[in-house]
Amino acid sequence: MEGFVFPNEAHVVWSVMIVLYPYITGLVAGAFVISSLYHVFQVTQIRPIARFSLAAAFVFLLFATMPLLIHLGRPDRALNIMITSNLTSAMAGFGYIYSSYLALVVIEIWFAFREDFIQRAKSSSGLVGSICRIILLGDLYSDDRTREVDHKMVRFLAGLGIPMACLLHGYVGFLFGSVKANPWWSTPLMFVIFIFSAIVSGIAVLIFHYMSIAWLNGWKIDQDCVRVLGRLLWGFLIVAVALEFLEVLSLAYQQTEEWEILNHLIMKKLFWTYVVGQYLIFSLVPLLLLGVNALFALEDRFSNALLWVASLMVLVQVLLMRWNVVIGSRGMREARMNTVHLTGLALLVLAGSATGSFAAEPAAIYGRDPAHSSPAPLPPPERGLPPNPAPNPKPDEHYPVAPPPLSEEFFPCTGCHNAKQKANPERRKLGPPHDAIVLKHDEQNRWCLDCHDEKNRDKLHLANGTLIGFDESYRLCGQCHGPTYRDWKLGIHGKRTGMWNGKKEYLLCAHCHYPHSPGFKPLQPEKAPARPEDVR
Amino acid sequence: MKKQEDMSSSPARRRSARSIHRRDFLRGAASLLALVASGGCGSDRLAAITQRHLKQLTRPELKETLERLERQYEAKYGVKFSVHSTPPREETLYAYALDLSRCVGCRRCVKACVKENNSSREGGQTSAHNMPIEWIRVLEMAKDRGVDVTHSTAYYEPAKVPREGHFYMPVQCHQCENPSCVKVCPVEATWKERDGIVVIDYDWCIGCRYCMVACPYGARRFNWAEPHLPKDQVNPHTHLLGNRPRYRGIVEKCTFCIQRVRNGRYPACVEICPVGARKFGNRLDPEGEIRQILERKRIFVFKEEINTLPKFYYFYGI
Repeated sequence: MEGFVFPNEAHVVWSVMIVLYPYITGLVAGAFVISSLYHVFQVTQIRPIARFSLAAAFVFLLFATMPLLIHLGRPDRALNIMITSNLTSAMAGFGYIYSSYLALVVIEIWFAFREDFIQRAKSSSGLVGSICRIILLGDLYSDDRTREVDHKMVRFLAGLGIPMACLLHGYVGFLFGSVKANPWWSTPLMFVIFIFSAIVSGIAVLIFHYMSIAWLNGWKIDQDCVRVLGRLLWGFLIVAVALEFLEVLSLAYQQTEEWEILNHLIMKKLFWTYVVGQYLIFSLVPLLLLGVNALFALEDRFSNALLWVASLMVLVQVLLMRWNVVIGSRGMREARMNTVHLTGLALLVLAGSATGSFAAEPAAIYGRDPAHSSPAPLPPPERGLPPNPAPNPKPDEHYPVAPPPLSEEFFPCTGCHNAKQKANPERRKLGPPHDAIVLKHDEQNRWCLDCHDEKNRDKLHLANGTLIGFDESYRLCGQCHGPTYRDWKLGIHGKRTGMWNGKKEYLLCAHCHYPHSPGFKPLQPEKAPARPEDVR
Repeated sequence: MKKQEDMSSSPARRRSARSIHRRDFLRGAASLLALVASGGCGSDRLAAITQRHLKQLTRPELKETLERLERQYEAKYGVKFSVHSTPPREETLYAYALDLSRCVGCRRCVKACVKENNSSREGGQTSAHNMPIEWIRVLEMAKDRGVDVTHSTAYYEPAKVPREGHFYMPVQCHQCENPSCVKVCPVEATWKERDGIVVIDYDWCIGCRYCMVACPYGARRFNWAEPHLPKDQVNPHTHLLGNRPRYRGIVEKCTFCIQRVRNGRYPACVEICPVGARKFGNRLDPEGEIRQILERKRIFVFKEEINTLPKFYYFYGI
């Protein structure tokens, strides 16, 4: 076994961009859930990070579909997805969920940051002030009542956003989980695993960013807040890792056909990224660190350092998990993409997104018109086409065969053998010019004149003496090979060329089977396909 | 179930006023952009960029498109091209049967297919991903394991085939009645025609490769680079949905040689097969080869458990 994972071995068609896409989407969903914990579930300790997490979700959201766009073979046609959306496609469906989620986050941000915009609009007069005014739609009024409304709206949207965040990322899970061609993807657990890993990565990225920004700016870290976040991360990580492990465990226990492939993948090709990377290092170590952090009363500085390291490691764990799912499970022969490189790339995206560079993404700009997707009425069927197939010839008709494979060197036989010549019926090694003929066709019971006619050497004869031409030799063969003869007449056996519904040419038995030794001779095969790794 | 339509037989479709408005707007905007981008290149080039989904074309538009494609291919390959759009026949559902007890694994079909279908050849630009594209893959399997893809290989290279103790199973597009690839295409660039052939609109495909990931038979190929098709190897008799030369960044696959079978001919792989293991015909014709095989031989479909309902049957002739 070369680890052939049909059909996945052929080429890694989904590559690193499709790793980053669920990764970033997961960060969105996770960050949003954390902001909702404060707004909806009143976890007041995380107040310092509540609005930051909302902003982070928004920024990541703007980036989420960038990898998809870059991934396309024809990014110039990306807008086709708006013109002919296929409602049964998870990728097109993602567009809808993504767009509505983006709208929700934008609106929530508007309410959550309204006060800030008003203050900014009042305090600065230049361009910034004007932009704030535009964002506020010109309404700078604020009092307790409007603040109350803002608050209520944020709470409502945050509540609505939780199921939507789960849907958003669960849907990304569906994008993979719905692919029945890939046994490792096609599991209902995929959705749940994706949601939990999303929450985990979201919390981790918030801890990481919050602490890093605080340290860089010399701010004091709110210990209550990070302690709660650390515990949340620990809890969710336990569930996420357990689910990921259970999925593989159940496959391993069932030992179905797929397991043979997966086992091979996990123990050989993905050993470093999956077993060592995803589990032994980047799951176990953070679990340990977070556990210690949650269970023991540590000094603040030490606790923070642990948490920072753990959150960074969790980010790598989720990335590795995405990588193993998307690329690893495709059964590539060697994990050529350097994981360190990949991690660097991902962190770059994280950093880039955190600085708030906004990238316009087409899917978010355009609304959708469902009228486009509904199937239009079927066109009237085409008439006046060529008539349907002519029936096959009736049995025992003369079949349209190619001329018999007789060489001019020997045929006509009567060129040498005349009717008066008495044939030698002795079983013997033939001399020239027939020395090439070595009978290997029921040779115990048969000899030349059982098929060739003694009187008329240009003819063959059937068992009952009927003379037939070489172009009808199938009748002769058919005397012994009944079922094959039947199959040949029906077109099941042997090659036919020409029109599938009309005039066709059959081949005689003798075209493929040398009558004196009819076993099929081995052939030299054409060149093997290029191996993907030979091309790269 | 969603109705399937055929591009080639669709006259001007009724559209709601709104959708016309929006589509025309998009198209107009795209045209304008393209005009700016192309800086006054030929109108053919512009038309190529603003090409709409084939199923949305009216009859005159389709005719124009075919003529333009012929002009463009002719200019590119230096031979007279015909790009036709022969529609499906009535009461025809194409099916394929492959005799596993005959196939010797010689790969003649693979090469004949490449030649017939203008697939990308070896020796093109040395891009990282560029490799010759072959729609058929022949798997070598051990007789004592039966049909077991996990232990099969496509890279066998003995001096002679069949190799002792082995049998061969060619795999290509199964033209499923319930195709996963069509289901996942986000832009409806691939669909099932009325005669059962799953086709791709090469001018609409965005190259996301979701269909490739979703296909259980690994039947689809992606043009990582501009296809390498030397001028002297071009087959200029083409079908719009079939063997016309492809471009970089899009997906392609076997169409049962749509350019041949819609004109009544056998697919190229059937005609080349030296052992007559490949059978093709109309599933609905009770006299045809396919029905005779279904009636008289024991058949199986590959990965039957995932319910793709292929119209590609494997059978044992003996």
